Amino acid sequence: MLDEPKNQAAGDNLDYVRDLPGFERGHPHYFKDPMIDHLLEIVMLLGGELWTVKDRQAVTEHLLATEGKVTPEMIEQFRPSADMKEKLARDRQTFVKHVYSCLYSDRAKATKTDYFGIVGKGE
Amino acid sequence: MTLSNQFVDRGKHGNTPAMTTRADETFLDFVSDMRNVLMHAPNDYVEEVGTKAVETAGARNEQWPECVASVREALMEDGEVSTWLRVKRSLQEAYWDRIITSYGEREGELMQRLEAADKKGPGTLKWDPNFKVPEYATVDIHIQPGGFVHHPLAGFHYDYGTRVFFGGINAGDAQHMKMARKTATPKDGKVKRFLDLGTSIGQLPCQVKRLYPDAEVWGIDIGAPMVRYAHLRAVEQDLDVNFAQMASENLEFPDNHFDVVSAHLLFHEIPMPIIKATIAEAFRVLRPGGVFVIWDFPSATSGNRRFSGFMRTLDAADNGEPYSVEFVNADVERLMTEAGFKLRYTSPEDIMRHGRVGDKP
Ligand SMILES: C[S@@+](CC[C@H](N)C(=O)[O-])C[C@H]1O[C@@H](n2cnc3c(N)ncnc32)[C@H](O)[C@@H]1O
Repeated sequence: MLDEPKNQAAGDNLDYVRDLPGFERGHPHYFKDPMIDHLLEIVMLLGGELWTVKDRQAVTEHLLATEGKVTPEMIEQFRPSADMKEKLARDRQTFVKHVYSCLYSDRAKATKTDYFGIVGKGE
Repeated sequence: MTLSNQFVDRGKHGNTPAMTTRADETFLDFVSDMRNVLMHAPNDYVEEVGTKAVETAGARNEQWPECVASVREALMEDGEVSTWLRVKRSLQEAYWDRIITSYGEREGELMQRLEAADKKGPGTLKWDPNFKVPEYATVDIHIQPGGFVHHPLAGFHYDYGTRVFFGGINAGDAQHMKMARKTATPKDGKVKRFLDLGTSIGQLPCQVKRLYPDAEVWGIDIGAPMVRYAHLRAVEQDLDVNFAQMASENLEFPDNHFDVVSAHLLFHEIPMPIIKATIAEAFRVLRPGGVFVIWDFPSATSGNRRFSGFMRTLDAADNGEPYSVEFVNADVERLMTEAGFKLRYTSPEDIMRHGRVGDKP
C-alpha cells in the first residue's frame, strides 16, 4: 500500500555535492612519480592472473588423477571438496605472502593478528 | 546445464550467483586475500605514520578539494603509506572491474532472470524506469562504476563485490541475521510493519522476515537495479518481502504506519540535507511508540582516528564516499532528538557498527 510522496521539497541546497572529492571516480596516484603507482598495480594484477593459472593447473591435475580426463567444462563445473578448498586457500595465501611481503617493513607487518605468519617459517 | 552456448552454469555461493568462469572466481579470491594481507595487516602502522605526516605538514582532514589535495601531498612523503594507499585503491578497482566483466559475459541471461522475477511473488516490487534519480545519488560509490543506480546489473555487482570486500564473513547473509536479531523493537513489543531504508539488495529485510514471519516487511532503495535484484533474491528464497524504488527523504508511506524503521550504512552515503529530511520522514512514518534504528560509522572523535583522520578523508575521496566526512562530523543523536525522537541508546557495540536507537513518543 503506497501513498503519494509527501516531501517534495527535499533536495534543495545540494549543488555543493558536485565539487566534493570522490563525487567522480577519478585516477588518484599516491607516489610522486605516478609510474610507481602503475607498476605496483601491474604487479598486483599479474599476481592475480598467475594465481588463476596455478589454480587451473591444480584442478587439471586433480581431475586427471581422479577421472582420467579433463575438459574445459569439467573445470568450470568442478567444486573442490572441503579439504581441497582449504588447501587451495592455504596455497593462495602463502603465494600472496611470499611474493608481496617485501612491500612493507617488519614494523609495518608486526600486528596483533599474524597476517604474515606463514612466511619465513621454513616452508 | 548450459546457459548460453558458451557458459556452464556454475551455480551460486549462498544467495549470490557464481562468477561466469572459475578463473574469475579464483582471481577474486586472490584479491580478497590480498586485501587481508596487504591492507589489513599494516593498517595500524599506516594510520600512525600517516597521521604524523599529515600533522607535520599542517594539512586539515576536511572534505574540501584543497584539504584533500594537501593531505594527499603530505602522505606522499612516506613510501609505505603510499604503497598501502595504492594497494587499497588498485584492489578496489580490480574487483569491480572483474565482477562487471564476468557477469557482463552473460548479461542477457541475468537480465532475463531479473525480468522474470519482476512479475513473481510472494513479495511485491515497485520500480519506475522514469524515476528521476537525484544528482547526489549518482556517485560511483565505493568506486563501483555507475554506483547503485546506473548499471542494470548493479545489484549483482554489489552482491559479489561485498562478498570480496567482507572476505567471507557474511556468507549466507549471516551478518544481516545477527543484525536482524539485534534490531531494537518497540517497547510494547509489537512488530507488525517493518521498513528498511537504503536496503540495497534486501539482505536485512529478508532476515527480518524470517524472524517475524507475520510482519509486513518493506525495503526501499533509490536504485532500481538494487530493488529489482533484492526482489529476485527474495523470490529465490521464497520470502514475502516488499521492495520499492523510493528516496528515503521522500517516502511514499502514510503517517504513523510502521513499528520499526531501520537504516544500515545509508547515512554516511547521503549528504546532510538528505540526512535531515530522512530522519524527519522516518519520524513521520513511524507510529507513536515506533522505533528508528540507525547503524553506521561512529562519529568522529579524537580517540577514533580511523573516522576522524586522514583515512576517512581519503576514503571519502578515493573510495567514492564523498559525504561520509560530513556524516562522521555530525551529531546524529542531536539531529534525531531535534526531529522529535527520544534517544533510547547509542552504542558503539552494536554489531560491527555504531547503533543509534530512537523512540517516537
Ligand atoms: C551501503 S548501501 C546499504 C547497505 C544495506 N543497508 C545492507 O544492510 O546491506 C547504501 C544504499 O543506500 C541507497 N541509497 C542512497 N541514497 C538513498 C536515498 N536517498 N534513499 C534510499 N536509498 C538510498 C543506495 O542505493 C545503496 O543501495
